[in-house]
Amino acid sequence: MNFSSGVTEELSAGLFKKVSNYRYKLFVTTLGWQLKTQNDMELDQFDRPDTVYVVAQDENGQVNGCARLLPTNRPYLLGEVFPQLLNGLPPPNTPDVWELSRFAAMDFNNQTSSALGQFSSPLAIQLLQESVTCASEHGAKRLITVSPIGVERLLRRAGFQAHRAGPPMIVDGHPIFACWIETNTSLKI
Amino acid sequence: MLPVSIDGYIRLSFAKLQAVSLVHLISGLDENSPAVTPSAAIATEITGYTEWVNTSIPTITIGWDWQMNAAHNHILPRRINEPRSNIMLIDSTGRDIGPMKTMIMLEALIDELDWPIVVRNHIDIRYGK
Repeated sequence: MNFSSGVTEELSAGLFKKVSNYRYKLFVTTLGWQLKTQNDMELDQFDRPDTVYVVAQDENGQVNGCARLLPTNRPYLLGEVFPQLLNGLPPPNTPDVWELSRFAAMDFNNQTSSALGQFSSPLAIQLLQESVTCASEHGAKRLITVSPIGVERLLRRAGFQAHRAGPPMIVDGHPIFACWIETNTSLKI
Repeated sequence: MLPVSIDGYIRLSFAKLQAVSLVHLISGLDENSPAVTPSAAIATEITGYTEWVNTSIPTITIGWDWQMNAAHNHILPRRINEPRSNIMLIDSTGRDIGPMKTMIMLEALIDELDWPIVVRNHIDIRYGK
């Protein structure tokens, strides 16, 4: 497994497009999320030149996981789209807190991998650890994420201390929530 | 009104928490992530999640996983794994007791709730008995 990270121009040639295609295939085609797309790519207003990506690739160079990192002192998904998940608190606005979004760890070339089980695989745990490390290297002391509630199990399995920022909101029958993740402490369970 | 701290936690004593009335929000079968590892899963066992909240703002949220033997209609779900929440319990001096101890106390609270029948009925209705 190979991991790459950086802003768009720091990723190797063509990798950003591969990530956009991967996100389209997973979030739009497989999971049916209603997202902005263009030419089989899933991109939104938070995919900017300063956005940091963490990408997992298999031995053949195929993308099998990705994550998106944004500092909360610039526009980010939770702050702009889902502030109601913060239980009445204002969205964080500091370079010390980064948002983790578009986290995905499904290997389309592995028949045992599935969208439904993507939060439980060793790949997911490794990608999460790489993402938190990457955010820390950019100055994050804490992360916040808006995710399906299944990500809590992944956080526990990966050894991270995390807690809810507020109650889940039901979207299309599925609960999503905001979650704080500590970068400097671990809770081995 | 319960205060919510800047770190997202609602801090309160266990006695205060016991006085909070929790209501069922949603329960479901596992879709995004199994609650047990494949090696531990038994074919007739189904797993899922349940979410409970209080009815005031800011809102207390507690969620936990459950497991149930699908082959027996009369069997109720039982809690598995640790609960997840936005609660940090405090001691008599007002200090945090920490996430691990809070989790253990939440388990005790959940196990006193009459949740299994509520979840079972919800699952039966949501997914069709």
